[in-house]
Amino acid sequence: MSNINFLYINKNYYYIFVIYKKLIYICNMISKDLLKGSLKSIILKLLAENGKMYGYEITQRVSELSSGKIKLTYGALYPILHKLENDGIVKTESEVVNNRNRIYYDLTPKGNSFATEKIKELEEFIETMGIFLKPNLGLNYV
Amino acid sequence: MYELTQEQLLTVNELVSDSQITYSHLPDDLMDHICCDIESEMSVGLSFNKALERVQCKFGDSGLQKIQEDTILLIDQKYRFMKTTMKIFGNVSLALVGIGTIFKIFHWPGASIGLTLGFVLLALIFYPATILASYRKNGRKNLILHLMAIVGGMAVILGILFKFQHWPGGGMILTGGWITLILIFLPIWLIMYSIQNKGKQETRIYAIGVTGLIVFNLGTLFKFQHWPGASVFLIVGAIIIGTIFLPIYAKYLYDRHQHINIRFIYLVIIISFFILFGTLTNLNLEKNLFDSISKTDYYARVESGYYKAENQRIIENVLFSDSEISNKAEIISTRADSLCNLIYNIKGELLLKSIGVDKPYLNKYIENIALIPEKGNWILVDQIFFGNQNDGYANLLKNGLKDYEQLIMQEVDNDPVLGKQLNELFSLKDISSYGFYKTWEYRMFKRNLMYLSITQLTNIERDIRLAESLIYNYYAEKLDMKDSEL
Repeated sequence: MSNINFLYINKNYYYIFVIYKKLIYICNMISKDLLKGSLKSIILKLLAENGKMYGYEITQRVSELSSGKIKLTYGALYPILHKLENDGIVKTESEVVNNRNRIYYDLTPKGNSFATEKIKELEEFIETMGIFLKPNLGLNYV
Repeated sequence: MYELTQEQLLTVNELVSDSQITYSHLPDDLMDHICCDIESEMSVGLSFNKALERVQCKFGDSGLQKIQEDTILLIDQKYRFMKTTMKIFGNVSLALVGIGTIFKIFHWPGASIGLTLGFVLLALIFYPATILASYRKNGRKNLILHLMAIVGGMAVILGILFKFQHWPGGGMILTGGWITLILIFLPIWLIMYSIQNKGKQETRIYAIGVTGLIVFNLGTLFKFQHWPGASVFLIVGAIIIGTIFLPIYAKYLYDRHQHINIRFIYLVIIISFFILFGTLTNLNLEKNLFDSISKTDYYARVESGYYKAENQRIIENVLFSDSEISNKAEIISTRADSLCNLIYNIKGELLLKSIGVDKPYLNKYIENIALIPEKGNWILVDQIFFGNQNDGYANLLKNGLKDYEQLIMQEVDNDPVLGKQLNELFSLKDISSYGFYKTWEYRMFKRNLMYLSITQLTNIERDIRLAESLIYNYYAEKLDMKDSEL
């Protein structure tokens, strides 16, 4: 009896944990605010490197590359992919895999230049951020 | 890597289609993603059900819908605009209506401005924006159906406003909107839904539910319009929803999910609220109204009995001294008696046709109109008063009253105050209200309910006796003056 009770409570804690995870929404390691603006660039970078990819593959790849620090959720990924498609940056093709439709996303010619631009922008951003994190940086002389 | 079987794929497909994901290729995206997730969980050694539960935890109960919502919000600028409009105007109009109602209850100034503005915002901006947003969300299908919902709903909201403010045409707008919604929109929606989702178990269940809703709403419509048969519709509708639809739906949900979800509980609460509220309001409203009307009838009868006895007393004790006046009083008295007889006959006819009992027993009903079974039957009232070609009792009664009024007015030509008083007593003139021209008999009896018409007749009888009493008192004063002159 006590065993069942214990399990029951455990399950509840599990749900609370899930809700907590949902609140963070995008990932559980790097905060949502930091990641929000760069997510699009990350996806574009992956597509530019790997060619056509499907949704699950993208999340797996992101998780793999960040060694689990960034976990894309469904809710973060698909709105961005559909927006990119709507803007003509990526195109989709459907393929039947294991008896279900799999949608592959790939950069369009227009998307290629856009991706390069975005990736460059991200690099510049990281560089700029790096300046703030370097110790002192000659501030003593000002 | 594990591969899902056909059956397991169907389960996942149901999960996605249950969330009503329709936007572009999002269903395929989500379906594939969920399947991949499950497969990877299963390859670690979990069972399918366990893996499904885990994946479901990742996006929560309404998570899939939220993804769709976020996607559309991000892409469709107009949809975003509509949603914002909806939120702002929905809140503003509800606040206005709420505050307006409070003002109205306390009789503070400005109540009707707030109410009108609130309702207009609700009808012209919030409601269309809501429907249009859903139209865009559902992939811009069935434009006509959505337009119908907009027009019908707007008419209903504006109709309620018009009724509330006592503006002309409210009933017409409300009825029009209601009919559009119940008799055109809902059936067409049901047919289209059935065609699109043919053969599914839930289609049949929804069909039962919507049919119940249509019947129940028809009942409410009939009740508002005082058409016969309202209670039958109300009861049948309530039975269909309460005892057929809900249990079947509950069983269906339970079979499917092995538990009753929160949506079903909401549904039950909302349905029971509507049915209880609707039925109780109808009953209570009717009871209150009916009580007050039968009281009015009772007091009118008491008054007219008092006047009748008083008139008799004046004729016998006061007016007999002057033969000329006593003759005149006799003529008036005979005329009044014959008119009252006519009224009694009309009442008798009404009751006879509706109840079908012998005349001697009718007195019981005339003396206590609470006993009348068919209180709201206005078709019969129309038939008796207006006949087939306006040859019913209404004209007879009106002409009789006109003659009676003339007869009395001849006697008081040198007393303007009494003349005015008597004139107001029988306001037999035709009037025009809000641009509609209405004759006296239309005002009094057209589409009037049975028990209201009988009360109306009792009131007329009382007025006849009152006029008689006024004129006798006038004679008595005349005689008094003569006596004092002598």
